[in-house]
Amino acid sequence: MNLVNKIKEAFEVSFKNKLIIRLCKILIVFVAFIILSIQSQNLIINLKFHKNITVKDRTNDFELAKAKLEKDIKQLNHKLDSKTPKSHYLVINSSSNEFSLYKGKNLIKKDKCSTGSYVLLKNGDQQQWMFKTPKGEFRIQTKTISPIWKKPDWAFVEDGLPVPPVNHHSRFEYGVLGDYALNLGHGYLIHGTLFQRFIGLPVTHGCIRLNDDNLELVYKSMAVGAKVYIY
Amino acid sequence: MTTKKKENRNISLREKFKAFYNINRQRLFRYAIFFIALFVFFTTLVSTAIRINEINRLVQADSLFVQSYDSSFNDPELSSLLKERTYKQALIKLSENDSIQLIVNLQDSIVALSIKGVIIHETKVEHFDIDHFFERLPQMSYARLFSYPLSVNSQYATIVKEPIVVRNAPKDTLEAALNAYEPDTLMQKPAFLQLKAEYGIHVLFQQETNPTLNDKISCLWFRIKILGSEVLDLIVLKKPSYNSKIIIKIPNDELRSIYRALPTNTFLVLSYD
Repeated sequence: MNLVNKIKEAFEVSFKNKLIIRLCKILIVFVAFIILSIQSQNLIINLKFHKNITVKDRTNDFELAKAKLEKDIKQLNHKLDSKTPKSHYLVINSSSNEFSLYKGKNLIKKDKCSTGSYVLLKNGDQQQWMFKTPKGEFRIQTKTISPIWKKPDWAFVEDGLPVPPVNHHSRFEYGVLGDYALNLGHGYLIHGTLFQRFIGLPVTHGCIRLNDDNLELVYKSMAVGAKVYIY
Repeated sequence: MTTKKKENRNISLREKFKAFYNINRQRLFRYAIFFIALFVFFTTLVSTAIRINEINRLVQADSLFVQSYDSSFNDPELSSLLKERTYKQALIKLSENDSIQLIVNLQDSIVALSIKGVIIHETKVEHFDIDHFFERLPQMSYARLFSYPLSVNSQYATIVKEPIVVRNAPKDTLEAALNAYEPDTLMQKPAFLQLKAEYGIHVLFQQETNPTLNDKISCLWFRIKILGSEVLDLIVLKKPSYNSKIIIKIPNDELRSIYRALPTNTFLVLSYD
């Protein structure tokens, strides 16, 4: 009861000071002003949009118009359906690090993958590399079994090693890309990894890494020329 | 003598004004508020009228569209069919674009990403709000306005487009081993996105839930910033423009995926009941 009395007293004092009354007045005016503005705005919308642009009555027939719309929709649906590949294609979500394998409109498999880390590696002021997976539509250029990785310069720079000549034996590594590789062009591959615990995380240098089972499924499903959509 | 007289006159004027201000301070303050409110009120109304005129002119100027448009399509019973056709027409036009684009289909409560006509990502919309403007848009104007993808002029988000981590090359293998990169999987900033499209159409994406205090503050801050930019436009007497808003709520991770996929020159296909 003491607390209630205290609050009451505080309110009485405040009312004496007219502070709350003033604030309430301002609030009421403000709310009224907003309501008035919105209502007037809606009134303008109703009035202005009421005036429809006059067009020549051509059919003036409900059934004919309905049939035309239905026919148009059917044609447009047909056109849109033809845009989706009928064979296998792959969709990669580089934000959530997930892939979806489709055949036509049917989802075959959805699972984790790894994509670019977004690390910008700087080697002084001279060189820099951005490790991100490109976005857009790609096609499988080539397919390889037991791929060999020819390490680019950044792989040595990243490890704090001196960069060897172009075809030096230290550039070639066997088994690190898994059993298969699918080439998307411009040096980007879909491949396997020795570090399967990182699958599902953004850790790659731009390539797409899959676990062994998914890599085999994708390799066997996707033909050369098949589409890969990355976003 | 004359300068002294002038000075005296100036002083007396200043004093008179001071005295007037002291007596009528409250009244002046009220008048100022009243005139500001009146100005904002009329600006709002004028901007709305300007926007509607712009849309009406757009429809009238497209002679090909006006010729091909059958007045029977204005029948309210054909509204859903007309809207479906409009949506599909816009999708066909969107498929001519090479990059990833956005589809907001509120008829089916879906937000999707598309590239060359292929839907690559789809999210169910749990909750959305649309302005009165969209509800009152005549069928003919709707058919013209939304049968083309809308160009998105600006994007503003609380999350970064590309989470770039800058790293300097290590000097040796020891430093490389010490600085081995490990991604931070706990990084989950609150996600809010505003897309400003043509004809003053603003699409606001908000994360579905705001479980933490940080989320709630971010949501409030996002709204204040948007409101603030509109108020600033009024203050600097920028050409008034009416913006119609759509608020869409989707899960945080979905919003993140969508925003990061969108290119700088984004196009948007919009459809609603």
